[in-house]
Amino acid sequence: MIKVPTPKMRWWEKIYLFEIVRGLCVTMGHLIRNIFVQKNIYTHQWPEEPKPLFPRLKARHRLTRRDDGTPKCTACYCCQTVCPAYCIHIVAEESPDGFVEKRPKQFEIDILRCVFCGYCVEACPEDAIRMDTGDAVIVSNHREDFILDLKFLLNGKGTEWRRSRRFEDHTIARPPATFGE
Amino acid sequence: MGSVTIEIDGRQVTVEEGLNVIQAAQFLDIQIPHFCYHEGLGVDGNCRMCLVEVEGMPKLQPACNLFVKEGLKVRTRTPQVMEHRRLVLECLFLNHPIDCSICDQSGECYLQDYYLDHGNYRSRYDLPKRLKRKRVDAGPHVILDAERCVLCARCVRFCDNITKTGELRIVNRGDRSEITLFPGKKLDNPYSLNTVQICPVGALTSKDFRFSWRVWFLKSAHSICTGCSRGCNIIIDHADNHAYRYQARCNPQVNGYWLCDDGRLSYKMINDHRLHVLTEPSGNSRDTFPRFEEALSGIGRQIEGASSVTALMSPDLSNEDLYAASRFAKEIAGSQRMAAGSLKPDGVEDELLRKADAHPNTSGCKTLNLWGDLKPAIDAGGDLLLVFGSDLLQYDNALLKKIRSSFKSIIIFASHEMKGFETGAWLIPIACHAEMDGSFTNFEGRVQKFDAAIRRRGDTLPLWRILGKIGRAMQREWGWSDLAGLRRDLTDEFPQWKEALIEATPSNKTGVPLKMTGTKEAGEE
Repeated sequence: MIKVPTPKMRWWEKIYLFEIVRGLCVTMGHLIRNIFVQKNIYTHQWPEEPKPLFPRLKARHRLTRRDDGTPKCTACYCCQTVCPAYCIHIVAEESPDGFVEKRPKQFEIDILRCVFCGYCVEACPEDAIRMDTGDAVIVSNHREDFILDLKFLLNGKGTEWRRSRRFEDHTIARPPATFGE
Repeated sequence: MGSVTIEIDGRQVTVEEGLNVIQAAQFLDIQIPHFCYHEGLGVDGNCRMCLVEVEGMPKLQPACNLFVKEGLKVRTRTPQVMEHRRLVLECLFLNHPIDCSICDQSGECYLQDYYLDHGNYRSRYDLPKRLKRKRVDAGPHVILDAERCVLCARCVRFCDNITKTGELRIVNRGDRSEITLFPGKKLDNPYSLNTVQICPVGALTSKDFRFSWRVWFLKSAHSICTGCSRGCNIIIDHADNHAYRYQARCNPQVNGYWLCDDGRLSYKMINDHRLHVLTEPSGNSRDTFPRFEEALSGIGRQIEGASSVTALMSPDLSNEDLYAASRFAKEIAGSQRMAAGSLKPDGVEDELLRKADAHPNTSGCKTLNLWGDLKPAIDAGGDLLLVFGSDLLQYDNALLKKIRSSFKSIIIFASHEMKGFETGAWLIPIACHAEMDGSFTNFEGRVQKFDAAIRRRGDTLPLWRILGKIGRAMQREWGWSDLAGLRRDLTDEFPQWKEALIEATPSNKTGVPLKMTGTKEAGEE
């Protein structure tokens, strides 16, 4: 066990009176500075003035395409495997084009579960998934809108947030609840 | 067979005579990499991956073709051996596509594993890779990718030596050589999916399992195939409470290393057409907990009120379920007629694995003295019919009509949907073999235990548990709290099962043959 000695308070600290005045000096200092030099005030007029994003920010995902427009993703499940939040859900199917045998039939990211760690981008052997859309703010009134599907993810960079998608498209078959014995 | 002591990597091991060094090394947990050698197929020695250093021999020796003899000293990880493995892998990878992200085998691919263990080099090959045929439709269940093949010829030897159909050959020489089918032939023997299981790389893939799931997500459980009375030992590979495939599990006494295609694809019955909820005769489901309990007491009242009861049992049930069902029919329902039997038409039989009897537990019914003809019991009619097992009444529409007219009420304990009984019968969901522990007795009288693979779905319960619940709903002290208690009761009545059901340890995966003398000895005591 480590004993951390509590610093002893001096007598003028124990009275508190002088300390209150010292704290108010800090506040008054900021107030006076902001009255006379207004350009240094740290305020953003958000959302009218969006805050600049760092170029390496991990924003909302997108899926890239090959030159012929088909998704680069081969449904190898590497991103789903490394995902610590279990938010990626892939269903693979055989591709008819004969170029690459396999392609994703479904590719869903539950953005509410996503922790934006970027492991999926690291794991992808095909450079198919990226987090460079710049969509850092994702808003909706419906929980189901946060499940991004293949079509949406392929739409590319900086797309408008799509609203009012209904849950019917994403019904996940769940087995009925099990009875306890 | 004598035993000999040999030294591998400086450690002594005593093994049976007749084993080769790859097998002997496994006793010490030393894995010697190999492609072409397979215990079920014997030595071929074409891949040269398993070469090891042997004291007193100037050159490296293939471990698969090096049989143990007294005083043999083998070293498996010397610099010379490691360099050799690296060079063999470099040769195999010259024209091998890096398909791991789309290849079904990745995760259980020998080439992938050995590259990470022994290869780890950068390719020195800058010529264009030789392209071969991809996605060849080899047969009804198999797809061939010639580029991924390492020419170990396991599949060729399987078709030549095991099924003796000989569809496959290696043609051409050098880097042009590839696996091919004879012109006009297809890989359509009834054991073709074994070639997929023994393929060390992803050259042969199963059309059924192709792209459906990645193998590293799969969990495995030891189980028994229910396709026929052979009782082949299998591994159920499952994920997310969904069975994805059966793989053969080696049991030299029953199925060796193999499994037939029909059996291998019968895993689908675990997922499809299952009965989830308790349904009352009007067709309403009782899928909430209090209503479920209420229904059980309703069933209890019906059993108590019945004047004559007939009980039919299916040879698809496990030994434990059959015993519980027979005790239930006798003690709780007081049934006058009771028979276990089958109405299913016979399947195909051959000399390798498949048996005509399409039920996994016919022998068990016979040993429990339940086996009989179902038709007289059905013809006699009566007040109440108890049906244990879902396969009994699916094959004969005339019979089905007759049952509905000659019995006043019907209670069916079924794991699968019952065609023709959507209304007019109590349908009680029970667990199938993948969802519970139990045992089957195969046609030779070998009792083989199986483990639960997936969680039970919906309201399903193992049959012996639901019978106990109904017994308790009828205010009777009846039923077992665990499988061990049920097995104790079973072996008290049938002592020849004792060794197989109670004394056999979980590690005994080969099953225990029934000793038919057991009853007599117990009687003498």
